[in-house]
Amino acid sequence: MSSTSAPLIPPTGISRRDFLRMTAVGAAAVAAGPALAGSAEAAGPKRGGTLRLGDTGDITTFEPYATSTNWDIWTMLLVYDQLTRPTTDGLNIEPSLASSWDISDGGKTYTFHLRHGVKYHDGTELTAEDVKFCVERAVFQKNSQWEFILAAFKGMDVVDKYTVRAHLKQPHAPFLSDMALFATSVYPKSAFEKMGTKLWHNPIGTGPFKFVSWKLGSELILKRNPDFWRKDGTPYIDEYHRMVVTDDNARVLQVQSGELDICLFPPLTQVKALQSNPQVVIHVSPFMSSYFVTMNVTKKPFTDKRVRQALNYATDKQALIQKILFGYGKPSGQALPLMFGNDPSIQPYPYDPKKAKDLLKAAGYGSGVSFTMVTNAGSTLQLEQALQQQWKQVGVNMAIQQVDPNTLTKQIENPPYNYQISPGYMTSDIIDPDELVSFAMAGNGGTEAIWTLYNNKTVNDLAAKGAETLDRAQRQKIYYELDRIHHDDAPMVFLYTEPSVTLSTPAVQGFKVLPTGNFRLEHVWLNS
Amino acid sequence: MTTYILRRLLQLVPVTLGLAALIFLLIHAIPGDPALTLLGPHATPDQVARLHKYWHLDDPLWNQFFFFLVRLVQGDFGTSIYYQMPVGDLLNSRMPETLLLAFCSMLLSIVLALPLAVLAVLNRDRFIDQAIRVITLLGFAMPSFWLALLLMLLFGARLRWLPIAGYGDTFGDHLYHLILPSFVVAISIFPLMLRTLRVGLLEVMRQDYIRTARAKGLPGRVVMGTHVLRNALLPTITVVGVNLGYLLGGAVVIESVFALPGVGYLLVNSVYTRDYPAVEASALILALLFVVVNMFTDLAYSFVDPRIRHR
Repeated sequence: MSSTSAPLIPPTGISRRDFLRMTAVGAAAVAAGPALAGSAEAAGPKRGGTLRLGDTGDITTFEPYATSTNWDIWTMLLVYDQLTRPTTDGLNIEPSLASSWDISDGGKTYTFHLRHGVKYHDGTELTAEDVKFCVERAVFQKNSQWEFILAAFKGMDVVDKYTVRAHLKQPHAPFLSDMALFATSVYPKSAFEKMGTKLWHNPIGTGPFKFVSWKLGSELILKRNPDFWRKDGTPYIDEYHRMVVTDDNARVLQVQSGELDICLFPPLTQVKALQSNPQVVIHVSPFMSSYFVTMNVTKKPFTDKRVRQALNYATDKQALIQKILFGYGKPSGQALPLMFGNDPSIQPYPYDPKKAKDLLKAAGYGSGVSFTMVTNAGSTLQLEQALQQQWKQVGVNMAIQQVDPNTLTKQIENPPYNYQISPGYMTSDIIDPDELVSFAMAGNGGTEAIWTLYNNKTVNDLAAKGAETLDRAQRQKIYYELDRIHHDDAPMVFLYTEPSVTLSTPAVQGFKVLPTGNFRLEHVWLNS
Repeated sequence: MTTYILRRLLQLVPVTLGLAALIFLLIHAIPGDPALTLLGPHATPDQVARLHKYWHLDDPLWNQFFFFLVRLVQGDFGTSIYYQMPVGDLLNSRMPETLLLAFCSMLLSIVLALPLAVLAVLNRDRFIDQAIRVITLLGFAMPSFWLALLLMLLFGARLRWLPIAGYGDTFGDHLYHLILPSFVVAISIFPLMLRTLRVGLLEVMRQDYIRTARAKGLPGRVVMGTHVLRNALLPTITVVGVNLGYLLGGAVVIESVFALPGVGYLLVNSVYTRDYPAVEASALILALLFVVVNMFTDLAYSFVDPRIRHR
């Protein structure tokens, strides 16, 4: 079991008032007064029914390590299980397929004890052979997109039918969080040997839902797993239909008419208007997301730290949150989302246009500075134009250029990194900060610090040390120091964190979006 | 006639080759990288290189094109990078909806255009004719997605008479779900049909043989049905053919708004994600369908008008 139980989000992280304002407790009370009256917690879960959820895009595969899209990830987590999983508050790791584990050899060896009698959807039993097969594939398969997270992994040995031992190249503190990653999902080795790649369109797992059918581009159907190993009565619903409705308006209308039970990613403009609609419940949950603007620190004027800080001071984040997010957000002063490793004592850069002008003057841009922001062709330009306006007040002349997303990615993510400044965001796939620190803050993580080309040796060393240190309190100190340096060097304009906002009909009970963005539908029941 | 048909069919070979080459060059000419789409924000140069190798994207272009043709001839449309499944299966699963929507929209369009055109012509320059002209103008001018949303709001959310989006499970369900979408599509294509037909009808009605038919004492309905309409159909058949070809490419906007699993959406999404195999195969199939529909349109002429005989 993990050695400490210290919470990952310090108690001072979110004020209670803010938290209530952001959660369904506050919003639902406003939104669905009479409709919610009959669905109090006292009425227990009812069995049966079909849940229809609408999302913005289709899934592409059930090959766990071969995808990065949330459509695939959130769906796979309903069909598969992993050795460990995050707790519902996203603060800790708890056992899943592994009921316990022992850490030895200075943190280089993990011995996992698997649960007995866990059945796959095809009736066969989970064994250590399968775990070794699946985890090794996740790291070593040629088309795996996640080997970078598991870079410290050397291999796994089968000790006996229910015991498997993992060997790491060096101590790696995030390893237990890594084993919760969807990419390490477990499926039967024998099924893959029999079906080959067909398995990825007809998945077999141990999860609460079994695969029924998949009409490409429109509908995925999963049904309840009656032999689900948790044996706590879940799932309650009989069937889950995942509908692809790309048009935002259609998707929201379908919840209003009852054609859909849950709608993901409603446009925030409409959410505000729906607060008074009794047929719709608005769910707001904390989500590990972080929004910012990246600056290429190797291109003028962003080579000068004062210019970068000036832009941070020139940004009125509260105004952005009110105008663009309709209040659904919280200003941020650092790259990491709200998670372990995020230093709550770091305040967002205050809105101080005078200070911004002074900094620009000191950097030699007292008479103004010009640059171009590149952004996605599909963007509504709300953020970009708001920033353009705000920064104009301090003498910044910013042009906005829209490029199609594929070209944009190529432009930003490949040498010679031909861009100056661009909006961006990131979410974490594990509850450990290591993924995002390597991805966005360390210059030697393979992604050039989210292509800011920021390369600070101290930060890089701290990132490596943070991954190797096993003591939670020590790790926290390391990451906090890293956060402060990064905040001060400001290779990004830090904007805000956004919660996850979803809509549902009042009949849907027990629906909760986790901080990792996915939802455990086995706890959902329909009160109709 | 048979030699004509055979000749047209043989022409399909160079046309296919030309189309294939053009589509291939076009999609590869756009900057972009399917690996980057799939890998998302985590993409490192190593991962990108690995995927390129896996999909043979590093091979010289003519090499890739050659293998594409070789596979095509054997009936293998390649494997979609995005979906990681055969493109043939993808097309198969989405073609039925596009065909059904095309058929329903076409039918509805004809049902709207034909009687209204006849009505307009019989009441030439009177109020009804003017009113019909205004309606056609409105149909032309209305943005289809806006109309779609309005109808969704009214018939779906408010009245709950019709489903808002989706395609349903059984055939009957499909038709029920296609009522709004085909209506929206029909509204945008029937105006051209109506105007072409109206002009054609007026042309024919001026002819001597129509005067003869009337002089013979034939009832108005027979004159209109047997003599006028048939002769006026020629330019309208062209319009129907062109529209059908376009509809078979999938009414992309309508498919997106109503969440219909059609070919148009597949094609657009594939270009967006730079899914080269999917684009090459689907674009080619759709282009060929258009060519074939064109061919049938030409053949239809000779059925309608015996004076046109193909040699």
